[in-house]
Amino acid sequence: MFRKNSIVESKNQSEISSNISTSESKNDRDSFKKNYVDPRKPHPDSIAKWNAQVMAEKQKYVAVPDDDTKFFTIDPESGEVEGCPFIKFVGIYSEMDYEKEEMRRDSLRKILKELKPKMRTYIMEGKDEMWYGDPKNVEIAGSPEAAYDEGSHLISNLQLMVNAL
Amino acid sequence: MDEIFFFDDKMNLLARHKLDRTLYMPFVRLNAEETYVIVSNGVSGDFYFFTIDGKLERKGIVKDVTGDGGTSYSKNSISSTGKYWLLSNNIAYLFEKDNLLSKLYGYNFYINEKSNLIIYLQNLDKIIVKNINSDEVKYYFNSKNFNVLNIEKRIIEIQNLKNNKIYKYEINL
Repeated sequence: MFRKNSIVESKNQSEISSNISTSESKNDRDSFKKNYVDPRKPHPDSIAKWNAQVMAEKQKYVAVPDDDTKFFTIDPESGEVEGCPFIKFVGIYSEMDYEKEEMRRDSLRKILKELKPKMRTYIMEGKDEMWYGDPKNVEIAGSPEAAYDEGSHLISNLQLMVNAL
Repeated sequence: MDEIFFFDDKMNLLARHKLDRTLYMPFVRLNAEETYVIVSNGVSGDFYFFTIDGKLERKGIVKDVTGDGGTSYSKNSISSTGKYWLLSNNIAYLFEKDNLLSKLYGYNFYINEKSNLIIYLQNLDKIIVKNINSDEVKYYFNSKNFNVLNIEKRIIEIQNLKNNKIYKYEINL
């Protein structure tokens, strides 16, 4: 009898506890679902909020003309500047300008070709050369020739510098 | 880009610098007076200012210097003697030596030390000329008929939207 009662009691207790745990875990799940932010997706309005913050920050520093500010204009026909003494109209870009620019770039490419062997020497200074493939048709890993070819990363940066010069 | 080499016009090596880390989106430019080489990185915001003969004058990471966590890194600038220098992110930060002078909203900055003026673009249709110290707008251009495309060194490129031709202007300061 005692045993039976105790079994019934324990059964009731386990039911109660399982009910409690079920309701607790349901609450947990609900609250987890409610509060969970999937790290893979942006919060629905976070981009908008972020964007608004950035724009608000930018707006603080927008240049605002005052009474002493001189407004200047450009004549749409002639291109001449009116109202700013130090900005001078030079001309309109034409096909010739682009051709000249291309010629200038060509001459810079020639300079770069001369420069490349020296570059290689400097870059490889103190470094071990690694040899790949057939020695008759060899490239040196780590050298500009191997790592970067014409018009590539390093060369294009050099061109930028040389162009600027 | 891992290293930068400086050569003279006879292709003799003047200086070489190994950068603190690889720059995956590097920009290498000269300032308008051709006294400085400006190296910056579009991904991490690393920046370097070298004198034209290859001496490192200043380096850092935009976020560390300005506290600005934005990632819209664009062209940094420096004046002829290095007195003024500018870091560009969502907004731009203008420094006089080690002091922050002002914050500006715009891009493609040209700093003229002699006249104390800074010239830059804002929103494609505006050219702003400001006094560096007083922060006053001295000259202002705003036109819907033109797109202001670029300021590089002392050259301003402006597109006339009526005929789509590109006009070239020079800053004579």
